Amino acid sequence: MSPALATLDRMFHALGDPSRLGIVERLSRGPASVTELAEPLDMALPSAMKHLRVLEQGRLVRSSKNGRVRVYSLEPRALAAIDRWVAQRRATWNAHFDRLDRLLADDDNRSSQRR
Amino acid sequence: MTSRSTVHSTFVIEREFAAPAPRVFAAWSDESQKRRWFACHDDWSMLEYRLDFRVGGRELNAQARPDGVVHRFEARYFDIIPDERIVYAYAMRIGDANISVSLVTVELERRRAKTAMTFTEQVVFLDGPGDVDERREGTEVGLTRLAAQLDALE
Repeated sequence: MSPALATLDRMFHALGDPSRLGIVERLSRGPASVTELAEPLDMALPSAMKHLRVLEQGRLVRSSKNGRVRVYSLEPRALAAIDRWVAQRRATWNAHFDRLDRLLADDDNRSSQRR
Repeated sequence: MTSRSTVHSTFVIEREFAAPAPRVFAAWSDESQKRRWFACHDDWSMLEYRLDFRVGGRELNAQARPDGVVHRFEARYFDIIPDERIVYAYAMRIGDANISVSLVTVELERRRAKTAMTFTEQVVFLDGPGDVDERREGTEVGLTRLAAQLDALE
């Protein structure tokens, strides 16, 4: 497995859990401490810590010490890999639609020639 | 060796076509027309294309890439309002791998002689990256390395 693929693999594993997705969603609104993350998601602190570790390993989340509190935030580059996947799908459709566009234009030319 | 995973995403493509809505709708609903823009790749070979455009009807598009890997698109239509809206679900397979399952909504809006199309795809990508090429390349690199190691042992 290429390093890039291994990174993606860890990332998808990290996201493949509802609790962790909840954390990512919460962090997309701004940085938060473990306590702030655990409470609204109805999560015990140790289990929140565990999920955050997986997210950190998947390089989706990073943390920094702010005084005595560790603050977690989204790794901005993290979702780029998933974006690439969506971008690929989007590009495929746009290529189809370019052909559709040409097909409609061709028909238009033919019918105007007939006139 | 990719682990099980699901990643959900939604994306929207907006396009404007220089043709009236019924004309654009026909390009989606008529088998021979849709085949021309949807099922043709220059250097791919078409294995099968079928479109049964009605609620409950199915669509199949199976194509082989130049390297022989088969891409298989399978859809089912759930909602059709002529010249206005199409809702269908589709699954994508590349080789043996189930890559994704999606819900697609196509909305057409008349703009005088033109048509604005909004294409919304809600997709779940299955089991890690969909880039099968890269997956296969990875395996090949692994096998080459293994072969080199075995050679070295002899």
